[in-house]
Amino acid sequence: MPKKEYVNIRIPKSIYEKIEEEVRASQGEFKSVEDYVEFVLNEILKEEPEETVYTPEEEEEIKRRLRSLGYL
Amino acid sequence: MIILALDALDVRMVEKYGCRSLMQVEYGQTDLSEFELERTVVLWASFLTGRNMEAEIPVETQWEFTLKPEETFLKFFETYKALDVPAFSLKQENHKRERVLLKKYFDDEVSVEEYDETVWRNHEENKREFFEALGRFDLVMGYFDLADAIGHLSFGIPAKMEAVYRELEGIAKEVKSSVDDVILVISDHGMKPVGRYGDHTKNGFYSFNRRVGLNLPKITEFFNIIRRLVQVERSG
Repeated sequence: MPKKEYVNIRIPKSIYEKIEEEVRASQGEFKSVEDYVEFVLNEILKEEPEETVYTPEEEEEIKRRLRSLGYL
Repeated sequence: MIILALDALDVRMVEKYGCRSLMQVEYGQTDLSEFELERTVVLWASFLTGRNMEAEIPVETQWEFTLKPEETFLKFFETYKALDVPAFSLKQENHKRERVLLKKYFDDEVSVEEYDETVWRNHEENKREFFEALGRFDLVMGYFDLADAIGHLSFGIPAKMEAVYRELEGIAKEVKSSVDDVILVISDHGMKPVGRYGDHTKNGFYSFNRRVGLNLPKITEFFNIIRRLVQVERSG
């Protein structure tokens, strides 16, 4: 398994201290602030994007259908 | 008897998310082939009356269309609560608000989140009233438009639709644990993705908490099925 590469990111100290409290409260689930941050960011990144993924033609078609069904 | 009337509950989505409480003992797809368009009011009116109402309900005035109790299977019950049922007791203000926001969304005047918030608020109102009515009437029919209203703008977003189906599954589960009665879960039509949006399809859904032995029933057939179930209940 290839070794992970790391980069440095600056975050406000106040957030760092809050995460330290969370790590302590996790009773071993998170081993460090880095561990916690990596977990949270992974969770956010794996969420499905909610960006619009339609074409103008699809939008026009859906509006036409909504009109015919009586919604618009 | 309890009827959970779930707008746009799609048979394939129920299976996809493994919604066991919605599936109950017997479930399947309804046959909507006789309808030209899957219009919500037309389909619920046809379910209530046992006949195809498509020609009798103009699209322009469909939301105001209201049946009399004696035209529907409600007449088979001494007491009933029909909560927000299209073509009978639709909460006009709530649904008009949703339609206005839908139009405003396409006019770029509101966000999808603002629209969703109103839909969920209306849903919570119906949910509260529905559970308050359980056990107090011979028939409680509760209508929920969550899957339809959220689906129209977000059917192509799996996370949102999973949350909708989990919510409806939760309602079915709570009903099952609250009453010892016949439970019918039924939708007017199904839905398919169009980009991020959703559109009506003929993949309607029904389920019973007992074996009834149906095979691709027409939505109009439930009128007589309900009549028979009431007769069996009275004779038993």
